[in-house]
Amino acid sequence: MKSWLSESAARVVDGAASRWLESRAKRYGERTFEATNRSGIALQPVYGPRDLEQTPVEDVGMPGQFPYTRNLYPVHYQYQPWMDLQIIGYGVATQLRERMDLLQAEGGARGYFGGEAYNIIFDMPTSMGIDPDFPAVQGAIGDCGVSICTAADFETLFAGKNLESTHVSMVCNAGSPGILALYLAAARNRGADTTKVGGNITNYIWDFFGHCGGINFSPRGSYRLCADIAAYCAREAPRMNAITISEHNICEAGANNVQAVAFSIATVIALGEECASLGIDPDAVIPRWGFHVRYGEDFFEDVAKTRALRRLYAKLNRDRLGCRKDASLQARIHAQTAGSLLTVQQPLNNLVRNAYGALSAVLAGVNGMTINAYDEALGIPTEEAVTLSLRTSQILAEETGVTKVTDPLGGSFYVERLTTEIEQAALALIAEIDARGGLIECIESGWITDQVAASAYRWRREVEEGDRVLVGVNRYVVDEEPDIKVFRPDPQAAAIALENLERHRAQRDQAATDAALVRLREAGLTVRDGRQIGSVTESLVGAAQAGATLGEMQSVLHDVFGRNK
Amino acid sequence: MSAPEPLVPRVLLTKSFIDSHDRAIKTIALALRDGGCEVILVDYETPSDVVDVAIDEDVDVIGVSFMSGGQVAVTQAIVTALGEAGRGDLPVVVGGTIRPFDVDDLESSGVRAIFRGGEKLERVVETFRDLAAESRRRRAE
Amino acid sequence: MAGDPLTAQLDAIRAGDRRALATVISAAENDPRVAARLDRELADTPRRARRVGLTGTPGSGKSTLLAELVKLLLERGHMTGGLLVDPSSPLSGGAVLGDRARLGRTSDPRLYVRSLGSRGGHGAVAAATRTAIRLLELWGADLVLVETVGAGQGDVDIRGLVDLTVLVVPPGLGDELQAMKAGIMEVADLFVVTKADRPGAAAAAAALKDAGIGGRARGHREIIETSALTGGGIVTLADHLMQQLEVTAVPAVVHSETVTPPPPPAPSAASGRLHETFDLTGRVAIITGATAGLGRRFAEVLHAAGASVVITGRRAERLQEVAAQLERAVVAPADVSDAEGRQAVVRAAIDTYGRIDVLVNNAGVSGPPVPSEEMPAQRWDDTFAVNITGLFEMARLAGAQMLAQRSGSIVNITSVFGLVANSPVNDSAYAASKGAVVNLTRALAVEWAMRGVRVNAIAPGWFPSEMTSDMVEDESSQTYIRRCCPMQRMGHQGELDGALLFLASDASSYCTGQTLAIDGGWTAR
Repeated sequence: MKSWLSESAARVVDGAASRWLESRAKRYGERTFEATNRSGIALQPVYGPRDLEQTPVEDVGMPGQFPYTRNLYPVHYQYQPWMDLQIIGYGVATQLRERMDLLQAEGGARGYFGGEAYNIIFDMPTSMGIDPDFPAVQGAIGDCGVSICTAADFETLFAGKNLESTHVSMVCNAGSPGILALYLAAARNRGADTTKVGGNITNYIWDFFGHCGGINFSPRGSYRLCADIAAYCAREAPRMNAITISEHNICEAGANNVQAVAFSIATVIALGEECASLGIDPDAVIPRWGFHVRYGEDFFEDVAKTRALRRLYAKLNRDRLGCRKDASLQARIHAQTAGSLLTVQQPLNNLVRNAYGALSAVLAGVNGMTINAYDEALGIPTEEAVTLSLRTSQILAEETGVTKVTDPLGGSFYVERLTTEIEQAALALIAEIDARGGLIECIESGWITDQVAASAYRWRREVEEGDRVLVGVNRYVVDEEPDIKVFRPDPQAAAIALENLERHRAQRDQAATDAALVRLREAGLTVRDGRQIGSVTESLVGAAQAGATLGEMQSVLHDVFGRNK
Repeated sequence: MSAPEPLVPRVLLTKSFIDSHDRAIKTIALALRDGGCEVILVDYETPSDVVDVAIDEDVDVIGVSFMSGGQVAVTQAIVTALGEAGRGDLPVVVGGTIRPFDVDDLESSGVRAIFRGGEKLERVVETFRDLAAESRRRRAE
Repeated sequence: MAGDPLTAQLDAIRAGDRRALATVISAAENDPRVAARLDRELADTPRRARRVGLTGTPGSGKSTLLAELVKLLLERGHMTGGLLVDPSSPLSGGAVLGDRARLGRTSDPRLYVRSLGSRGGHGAVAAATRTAIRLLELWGADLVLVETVGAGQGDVDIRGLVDLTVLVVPPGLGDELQAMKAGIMEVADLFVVTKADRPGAAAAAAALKDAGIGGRARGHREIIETSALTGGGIVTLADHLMQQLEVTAVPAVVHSETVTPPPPPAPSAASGRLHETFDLTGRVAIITGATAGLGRRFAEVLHAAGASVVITGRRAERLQEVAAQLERAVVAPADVSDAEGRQAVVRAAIDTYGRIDVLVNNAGVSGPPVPSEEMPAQRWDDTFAVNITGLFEMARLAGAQMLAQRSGSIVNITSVFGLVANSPVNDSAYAASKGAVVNLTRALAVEWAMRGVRVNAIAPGWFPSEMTSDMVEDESSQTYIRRCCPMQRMGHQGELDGALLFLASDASSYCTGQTLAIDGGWTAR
């Protein structure tokens, strides 16, 4: 291993360190001022050059170089600003379209290289793959996202837009395979070439950490479907990001940062191994995988975990999954500020929280950004709140000057050391998962969810006991809360959605839809057997074009791939 | 037969099967466990599922968590279904993302407590225990 | 007791009222006295379900397996009951009962599922499990599935409650199986390897093949592989279960019903029902030296208080005579100074009743007075072999089971001559051995105090027994007793009953390591 310090430099450094210890003892006596971060890593009150020695010199290097600790690109924001993706979604397609137009007028919705970009969130039934006429979901239709169940709904949402230059990111859970198919079917119906359609499907069916619940597919079924989607997209929609590994979701479910990084990388390993076992070249699919990472809890820990994640991804994809392409080793990261840290109490404080979270994401060098609205703890954001989120990002990008240098915290004794400590702690956890039979085994046994729930509970108790400060909640509490405007979803949305669906079912060619669903089932059984990977997604797109609804497709997939219990 | 105080209150905690946000409900479950309650933790598909499980498990109080929609409609459906099943006496508590405009409708639907986040766990547990004790007393009469 | 609410509720359950079923299960959980009464009243219920216990480590897939089985059993038209036991927190008494979530929707008139917290020191099945099974049977279930906690030794308890015990094993447990607690491997009647589609399933199955003989049938156990992903093996498993249940439809227990674990002591206000803390309904007691005299009396007393008894002694025919007078008794002839004999006694208790709650270490020997300087070495050794070594080994064997259950009471019978010298009746071997019992009692008590097992001793003065039969009619002996005993008489038969019941039951739940002298005041002066 190369050395960070020459012998003479080390002598100077050690001399300074011992003088520092003496002066600390003289001034403060026994007090050491050690602290602990969210992941339980012990922090020193100050770091020095010796702390660099925890990290091999070649693990730091320059931005744009393996193992990409410092960034994926030689220069970053100076050349390519982060993409802002404000999450939007409520009501039905026509209602959401009005909101999208407003966002665009405000200067949002900007993608890379002049295109438009939207980050759509669906209501819970859609996100889970359920049609609005399913009994007992009515209260949730269009409530916390947009209700979509046919390809026609997507056509309405993007009427008049060029889908080949519009980046559409779709946040969805168990309904991901069907929602992707509806979107691609809409693009085809509109005459777009799917090989040019770009965007993102979060495809959270991999997520058994707390985001798909009992309605997800069985763990093995889910990972098989992920491979199918990845293989299909590599062939037919290569600009579509086929999966988002959401470190953010794992954190939001209650995991600490080390757990979240470890579980994210373990997911990549499990997905990569599933693909490899089906004969899919990892270099053909992995370049379209990406991460969704959470910011806002512990500033420097957030920066360090990002750098550790990039380094681990590069090393493990190369050494464990056998990737050779650079793009397979580069962890692209979309940042989102922490929703679970937003408080109902004194909601304007959330503006400040979000800004700090966004700053740590930028200092970590993320590629895309979603800044939450300050009023999200109260419900769906108001237009004013969404605009303020956008302004937060714009001030950060264009006023503060933080974009002038790539990896500005690189070389910080503290950040480099913390990066390596998080990397090592995550590796230890990954080794434990391996020892327990791998990620899927740990999901099935409930071990994973127990770890996350215990961590969430510990966090909550720290808040209760005052060891963790939440301003406005357990400190600086005020008696009277200010009156905050709250967005109220349109109660008519459900009625419109139901009416649209009924009309759609009446008007479609039922025989064609039925035949397409039969083909979907056949493809499902074939893929379940490990053959013709990609044919499920192909059949889904076909079924969507033939008028099948999201829920109809989902129930075929559930039959074939099982349901999570 | 005498009906003793609930030495171990039984609580049904539930959320919709389509609502994947389970951090809050799991945290409350662990807090209730540490507060000496037995917690049955299940997802419901329909409001009547909640009633069926509550009756079979002989729970003393029901807690429903909402993170993404359906707050008022589902709660009203559950309360109504309980009434139809002759168990209108079972207290229902809701928690999670409860919007200001949900509160009045929830209260008038007969919900016994609303937890909107940031509440002390201690108080949440206390509320559940008190409601359980009251519920058991009422049934004994 | 016609017209009382519980009777009315039982009638409702018999008529299929699941709400009454739910309420009465709660009542049994919350109040051990209700459970005891239900056990008595339901003991003769003609309706009896086939009962299957599912056990296996957390994460073995037993919940998923149970869910699949339930689905199939309902399709086949069975009225099905499910009892899902999760561990209670030892600190708070609370529990997260999460197994039900794996079942999915359960709204089916032919299915009743209940989650139970294990509720305090009784291993891996809830105290009310047995009562709940009985209630399910009364409701009309013809199949009852019980899922245990699956966390350790306590899981063997399930065996006493069900007809068939299924051990669920996940793939990849090959090595761990070797080290798995022998208990559960031995009692399982059937092995299921879950997730058979996974690598490591074959290895687990192979390791199970080496498990040797065991189960009720004392034979090689079938190994069935299932996969929740493909649905494979579930039908085979269900068929196999039904077939085995046909064979063992007659309960394996010979002399009596299987018994329920003892309820924890109920906190209650002082009232006219105080005597209920002395109740031993549902408990299992071993009494050594029970062929005659005090031992026989002890067996009768514990039995009268509700316990099932396992009686041992050297003379089998005498034991049979004693047992013939008792409803719930098993005879296990053995010499407590013999290792195999001791093991046979404890095994008989566990095989028959599935647990041990009380051990009365009564067997003891003495001989004619002899000056110490003339005491033959063999006499010394023989005395110690029975009075202290045999007693210690019995305490260890039964204690192991009690520790696994995390509950039990050991009552050692020592003597006033374990407390004071027995001059002029010279038998220093006897005195020394009985003195050893007094301090062994303290040592065991302190060692096991936090693990649910209490150890106490009774030190009787002079009582009529085979050992003392010569003295009863002998005037000089009576003179000696009048001189030394403040009450100036021997004890009467029955004057040890109270002390025994006290120490054997929950009445003494805060008492351990003590020696209670019942001696007319002999040691008081």
